[in-house]
Amino acid sequence: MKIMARLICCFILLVWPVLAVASQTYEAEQLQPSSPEEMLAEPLTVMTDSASGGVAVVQDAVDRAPVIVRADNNIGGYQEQPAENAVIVAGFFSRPGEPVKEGTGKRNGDDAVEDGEADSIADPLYPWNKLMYHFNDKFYFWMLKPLTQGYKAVAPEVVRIGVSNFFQNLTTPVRFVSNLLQLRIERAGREFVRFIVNSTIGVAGFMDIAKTRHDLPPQDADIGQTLGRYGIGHGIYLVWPFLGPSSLRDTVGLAGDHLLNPVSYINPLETSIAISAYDEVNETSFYIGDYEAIKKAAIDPYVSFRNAYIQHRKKIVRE
Amino acid sequence: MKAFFVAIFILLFTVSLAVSAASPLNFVQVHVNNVLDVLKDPSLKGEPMQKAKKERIRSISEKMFDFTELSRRALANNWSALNAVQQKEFVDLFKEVLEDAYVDRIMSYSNEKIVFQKEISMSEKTSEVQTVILARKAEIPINYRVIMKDGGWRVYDVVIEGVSLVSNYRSQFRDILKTKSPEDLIEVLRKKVNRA
Repeated sequence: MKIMARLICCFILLVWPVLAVASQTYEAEQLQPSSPEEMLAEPLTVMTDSASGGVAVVQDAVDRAPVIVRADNNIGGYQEQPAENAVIVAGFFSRPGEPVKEGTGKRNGDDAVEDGEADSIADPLYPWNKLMYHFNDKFYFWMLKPLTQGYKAVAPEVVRIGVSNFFQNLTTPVRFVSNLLQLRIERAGREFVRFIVNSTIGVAGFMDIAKTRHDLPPQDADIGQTLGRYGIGHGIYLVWPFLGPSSLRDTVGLAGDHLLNPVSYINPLETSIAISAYDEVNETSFYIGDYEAIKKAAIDPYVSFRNAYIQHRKKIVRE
Repeated sequence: MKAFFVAIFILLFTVSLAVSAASPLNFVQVHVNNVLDVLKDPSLKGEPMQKAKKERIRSISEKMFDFTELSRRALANNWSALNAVQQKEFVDLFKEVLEDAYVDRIMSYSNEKIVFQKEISMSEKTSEVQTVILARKAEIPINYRVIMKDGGWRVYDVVIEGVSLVSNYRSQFRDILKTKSPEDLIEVLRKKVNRA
């Protein structure tokens, strides 16, 4: 009997580290650059941008001829084509973090080093999306903001943070499953531990003990991010009423998140919606002023929010 | 032998040059702390001092940011479509737009903790300084991208939660310039500044 117990212990001790290492290696592999922009420490002139990605002109360090690198979001990779009269702007292929040597550009003689990528998304439903944007804008200013300000006046911050923690604890399945599907076992494990600790010591999740005392912050993940990590592109830009900006891929992600959210399974439907609405109001209470600031700073708010959404999701997928 | 000493001398000279220039992180930290000092200054509290406060913050931002570089990158390929006069006006207008928008936002700061994490060298002349603001509910990562110009560092991009300011404005300007001329774009900026 004792020998069996010892054998099992040894087996577990061996298997767990192997799993952990394997998941980490996979994570490292996931971090391999999959776009020209990621491959370069500082991306170069994007000559054209199209719905399917961006084109960058680079000069290789090892005296290769200049190449045009086209990012193709549809296949999640990039293609190389030799460029005869390419504008040599700067840099060469290097891993992120390595210094990139700047050269002189032919374009007006100054080094027009482009800092950003072609963060664009196809927007064929532009009229509809713009209509939804205006709807959401009015909804925010006429309904959500006044409601939230009233709520903020009566609910002290401690209470609001508690409620936020409670709902975050409830949506653990979303993050847990998403991390699992991305084969990030460690993060899924941490989410699991968070759930146990916060549900018990943290009094049904109202207190985020795992974060404050055990340095286990939320391991954010969602199905849209999972799809993105598997190379699925955004598709097209979509703006949903109430829900806000999204894309084809992220809408599928939202549907997946909805299925994993326990609140969705509450009967009757009105109660489920009411609870989600309360969660929304509570969350907004921390961010009043942000929307207005971004809108005020923008020259064209619709384009600004669309671009900000794409950039933000890109960062989330890369994490 | 002599060549050896000359080489050592040159090496030491360049090393000391590199050391004497402030590091990007220090540069950002100094200026952000200056802004925080203005915000916390008790002599600038209250309604009548708001204007003076904003002026002080504006003058700090002029030393911190390189608005010409910002404008150039925000317009990207379209920068060359503007003549020199238009370029200058664009830089001034863009500066006002940004300052108006963000001074208001900064004024609502209330003692959140700012952590200066690290600096990452992106190229010979550019670096990224990573900071985090510990707000009540969330940690907001804010990265400042700095470029070495005229012997000193200047900020040319701010990346908040992965959203680059330059990239965001670039998408807006590109969209506008699809249907309008550069002069129209400057007119749009003029209207925005006057209205704000």
